[in-house]
Amino acid sequence: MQKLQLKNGINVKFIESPETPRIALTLFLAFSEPDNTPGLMTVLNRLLLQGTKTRTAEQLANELDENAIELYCELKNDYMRLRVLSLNEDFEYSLELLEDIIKNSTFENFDKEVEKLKGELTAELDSARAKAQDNYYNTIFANHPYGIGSSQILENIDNIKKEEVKNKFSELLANSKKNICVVGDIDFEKVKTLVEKYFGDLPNSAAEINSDKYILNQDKISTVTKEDANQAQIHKGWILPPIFSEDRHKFMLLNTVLGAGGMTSRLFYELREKKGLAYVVRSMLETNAQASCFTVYIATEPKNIQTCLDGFKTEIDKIMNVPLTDEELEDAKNNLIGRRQFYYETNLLKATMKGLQGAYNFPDDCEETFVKKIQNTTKEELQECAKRCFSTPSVLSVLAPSEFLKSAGLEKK
Amino acid sequence: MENITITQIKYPFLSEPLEIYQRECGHTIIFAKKKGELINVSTWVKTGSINENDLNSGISHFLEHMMFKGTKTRKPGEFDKILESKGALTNAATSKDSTFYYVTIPKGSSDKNFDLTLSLHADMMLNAAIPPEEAGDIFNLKEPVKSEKRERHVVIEEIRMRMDQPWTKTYNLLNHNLYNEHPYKRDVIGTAEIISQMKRDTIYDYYLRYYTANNMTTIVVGDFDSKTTLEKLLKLFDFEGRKNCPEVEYKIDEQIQTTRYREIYSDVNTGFIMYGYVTPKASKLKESIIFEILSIVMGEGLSSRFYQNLIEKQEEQIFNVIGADYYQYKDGGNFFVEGNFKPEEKEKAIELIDSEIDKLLKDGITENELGKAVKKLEARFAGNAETVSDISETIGYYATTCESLELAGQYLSTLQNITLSDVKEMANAYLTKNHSAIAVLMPEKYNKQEV
Repeated sequence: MQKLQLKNGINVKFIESPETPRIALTLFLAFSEPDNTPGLMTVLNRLLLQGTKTRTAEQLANELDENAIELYCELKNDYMRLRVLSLNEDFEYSLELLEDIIKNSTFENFDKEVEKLKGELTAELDSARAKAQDNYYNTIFANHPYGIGSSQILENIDNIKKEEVKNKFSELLANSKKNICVVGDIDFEKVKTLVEKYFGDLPNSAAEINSDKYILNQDKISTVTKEDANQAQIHKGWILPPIFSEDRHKFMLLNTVLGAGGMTSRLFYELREKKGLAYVVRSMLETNAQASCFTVYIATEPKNIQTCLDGFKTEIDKIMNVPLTDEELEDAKNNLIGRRQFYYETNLLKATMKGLQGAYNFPDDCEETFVKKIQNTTKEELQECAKRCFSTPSVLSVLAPSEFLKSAGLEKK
Repeated sequence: MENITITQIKYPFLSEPLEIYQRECGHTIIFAKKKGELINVSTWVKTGSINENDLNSGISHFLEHMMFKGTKTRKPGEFDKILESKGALTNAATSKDSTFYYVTIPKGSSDKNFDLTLSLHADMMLNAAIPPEEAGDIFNLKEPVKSEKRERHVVIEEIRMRMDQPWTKTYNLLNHNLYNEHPYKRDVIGTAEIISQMKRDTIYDYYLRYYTANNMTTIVVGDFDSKTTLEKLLKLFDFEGRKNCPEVEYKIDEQIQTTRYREIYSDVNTGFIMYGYVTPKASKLKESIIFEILSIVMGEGLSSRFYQNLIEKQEEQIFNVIGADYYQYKDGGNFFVEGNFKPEEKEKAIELIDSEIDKLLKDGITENELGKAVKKLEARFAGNAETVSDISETIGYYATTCESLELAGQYLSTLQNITLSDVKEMANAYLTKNHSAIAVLMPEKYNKQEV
């Protein structure tokens, strides 16, 4: 990997990838503080593809598609991520388009875009799974920007004004810490020239992501009634320390053992393979700057709600109270380390991973350090970590027909 | 060594040609070379819902689940445990035409992981045990389950999951309506009623019948030595004692001549609509590419006609989502228009889709649109050569669904030679409204209104 710093302080990483047909560039804009107005950032993010001073939305769409350039504007909890992927010969053109949307977006299609977004979110919430997920995050991250989902956006979107969006984007450009990563079959000197030309005059901020901790003070239960649901959607979750935690590798190992390690993970084996309770059962770990979130999830026939909750409890109690066997720990480590390879398989994936590490200001050798930490983790450390994580308050969110919520003793929201 | 026919085919965006080993027994082995740490091993079996009927609908998919339940010499779960402890991703998928099983694994410092993968994968493909206790007892859906739950319940949960997905509901309604007699009309996953009653021996017989040498293509993609890998595979894939499956041709339905419209209702707030048209066989490369082009021009991305004309340029918002899609199948593909709309505007939504299709049939597409689609398809082909799993899937698709790997090599040159009149002619042959089936999912209250 090669590096440079632009005049404005933006750090650029470059990885040469010979004999590959497409070049990827990522530009991360890390927030110092996530925005708490439901829908504001979502509308902003969408409007970036809705026209610039010199290109209408239609022209922009045509130019991207005619040149097979993939341009993604993506909003995450702690950052906005802009990514372009183009055939090698169109790389500079892709940067020109990216530069245009960053520097010259007009936000003129505001009203239309708001209407489109309302329609899309309403359609999305017709899916039981999307509705359940919306309720879960809204509950576990109550009153925190990480909890803003489709339903909150729909409730608030009519209060958002175009000027607010424009101001927010100016603020975001000025106050975000940026980093760029390029991966592909291109010469480093050429990369230097191009990134300086297109992004060398972008404002940049040195401010780090604010890593204030978000705390969940008490257990919460939230339910959603959907009378025609064929499956109950059950989420149970805990708030974990931020991404910068020294224990992040342990959280990932716990996730692998419990429900992210594939067909051998405990939840999969106990609830699906042995009891046939579900097709989808898993755990998920989301790491963020202000709080991480560990979730166990199952979709099951509604009459099985209590059995699944008991199954979750058994597995959580077990991982807190019984040390892993040496073999299980070793398998989990190898699984987790082996799968890291998949995150770096294509040019776009490599650029995304490197950009992500830059957004959180992780050192260049963070991947190697991370792997070493995984290798050195003991079963006692992992058990102690599980005790700390899962003895904190939790959130339970269940979507199901009312009669099954009632029979499981869950109150209606 | 047995008699093997060896051929090589140039594959776009890979530096070395594909190596194809056709064995006397009918088994095909394909190697594709790609530098990198990951290696993909897969086997495609030429069976799916195409070989099913009203009594065993879903058996191919149920069998796919049961294939992970151990072999004559390995216990259930052993395969997953060994491979996942090396960081491998293992899974399988069943479609109308085929079922494929794959392992993608980091090679590691020696060939140990690779060797292990080959032997476990071959054992799974040839020696599946399908243990009765893992399938679980058959049961009556309406009565409480007494025995310990097992895999058939997992499959039924998968069916339930799909019943809660509005798009899947709409698609299933459409798919059933697109065909008269052809087996494609059945849902690949089957029904809970059939799965709950499917006997273990029925599944095992199906396995022995279709998982045969002439029905299997094994593909290896990554950085490996051809000679030693071939030797190992020849030894591991020993089909002795298993009779080849006879080739079966299914009668292809007559093209629909009058639009088939169906509407259902559910607890949703928006309307879902799908138009479907049956198109030529996947092996008709030029025709398939034309429908890929039509799918891009009409309904892929923000520059597509549907998006621009039916969303961006409408004063009143009718559609929340609108697009097109094209799936290729052995006995004929499907071209789809799929939209989500405000339910009170259903008639208008249909009128808008019809007017866009009519414009296409009357005027065809423009030079610019053709150029855009060609470039996008070239880039997509390039993109599909970036990961070992994507390369493997593309090869598997051509080798089984199209039954000709040569077509992969001809793809880019055929694409370059498509003309505007080719596109217009094909659209008019297949996409007129009388050749379509239409499925609509509406909020429940519209059902009551009509009643």
